[in-house]
Amino acid sequence: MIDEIRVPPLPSEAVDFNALHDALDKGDSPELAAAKAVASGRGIDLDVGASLKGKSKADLIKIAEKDAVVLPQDATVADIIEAIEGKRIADLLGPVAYVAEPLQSGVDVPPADPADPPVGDDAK
Amino acid sequence: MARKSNKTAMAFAMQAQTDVFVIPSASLDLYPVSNLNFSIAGITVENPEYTGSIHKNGPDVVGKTISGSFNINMRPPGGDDVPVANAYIPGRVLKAAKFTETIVSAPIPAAAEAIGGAGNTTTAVTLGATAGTAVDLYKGMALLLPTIIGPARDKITAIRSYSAAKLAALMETLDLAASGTYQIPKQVSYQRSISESDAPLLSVSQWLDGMRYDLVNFRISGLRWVMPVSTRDGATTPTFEVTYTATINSYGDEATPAIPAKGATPSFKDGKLFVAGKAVGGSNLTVDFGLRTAYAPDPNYADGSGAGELVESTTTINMDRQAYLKAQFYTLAMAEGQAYYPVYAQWGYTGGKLVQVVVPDARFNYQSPTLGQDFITETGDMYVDVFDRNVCINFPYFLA
Repeated sequence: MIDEIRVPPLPSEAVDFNALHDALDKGDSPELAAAKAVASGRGIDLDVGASLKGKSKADLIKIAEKDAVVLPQDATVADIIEAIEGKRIADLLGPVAYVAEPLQSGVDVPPADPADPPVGDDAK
Repeated sequence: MARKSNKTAMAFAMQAQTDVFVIPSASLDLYPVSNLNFSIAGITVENPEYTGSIHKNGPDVVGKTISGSFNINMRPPGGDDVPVANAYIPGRVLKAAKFTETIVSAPIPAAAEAIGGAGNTTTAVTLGATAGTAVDLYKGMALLLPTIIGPARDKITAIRSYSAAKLAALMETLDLAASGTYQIPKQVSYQRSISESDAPLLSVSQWLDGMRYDLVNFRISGLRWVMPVSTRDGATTPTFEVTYTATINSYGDEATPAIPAKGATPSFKDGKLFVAGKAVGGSNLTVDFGLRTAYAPDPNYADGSGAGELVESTTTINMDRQAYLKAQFYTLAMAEGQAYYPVYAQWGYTGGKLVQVVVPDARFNYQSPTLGQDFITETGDMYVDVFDRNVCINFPYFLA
């Protein structure tokens, strides 16, 4: 049985199909692959701004704040990465499922949880 | 000296933000257009006030609307290689009409590879080891089958649908079952997008013999692809027919820039016209995207309305086609069945100068026979429902 994946509809702009193809080959989700194709079509890197690789939870929270990503109170590292990538994808593909809102004044982002392991290079 | 119509030019730039005019280059962003119509229409409101006599004051002039239309030849980008993003100027108009500009800058795979082992017929080909497995990944795109014997243009076809098992259904019926190798060639493809994001606006400079109008919030309000067949009795150029609305950002006297020659436009002949997998004869193929534009009331704007926005599109194909026998091509049954059929046109000879128009799925309305001239023909609509990439135009680059 082959799992069916499908690339989402792309916006009315230039997209780099080779970037899309390469990303799918590497196992990226169709949404992330599509976002990379749009980013490449614009001549920018999807990781524009801060890279998410190898960051601690505290660092990721800072990036989320800077990118105006709303995080749930009990967000794990995986949740934060997913939220930041989701925001970046939404910024490129349109707000399909994610509504970007600035952090509300007085709403604290969750503190870094030492028990929550870092990801990427920091996890080694 | 009277001003002359032929001294007309248009330059197109993508506009990143509503209301912010992007100055198009008077050299790099020029593209030849024809049949330009440019209308400045006043908005008036009747003055109902009594005047103490039988006479009434004239209406108040409260604003203006800018609209127009023009044609662009369906001329492929040309050159030896695929244009970079946003370089093909007619593509900017297509993007503003809700198309995605999909660029394949390197063929996939880099060298033609063997097709898969099963499922290869005259209407489908299983792609090989390096092909992706996302459903409809290559839908609407050009496909090169170098093993086909014949001139280069016979080796290029297009993909109607694509399955996770790598089976690519074709837009046409080949003479022989697909065999040998395949490749997704370099191409720039404009694919109708059903993404929810809004189509972009354009900024356009338009010169009418010595006078330049800068048009901001240039919204494509109508688009038709008109593809007449060139015959021994008459040749006509395939065109994109465009209508628009806009706002004048500024205007002034400025000499019309010279538009560099772009070369001949390929004629729709010596190519392919396949409907429901059958090669059919006909004199014309038209795709009408049925765009509808609306303007949200907004007192912050000079005319009381915000920039035009695309709010609806219903795509219809119209064809003037030879009428066939029931045993050959039975449109009455196809209209009654309401199944989906592919519509495929291709013309041109070489990479970069070849056009493919791909409609993977369309439904027949009833087609009416027409008599009175030399041949019995059929005319009628076909409807294109809302599927992603439901209409594509491809400009492949290939050597075969």
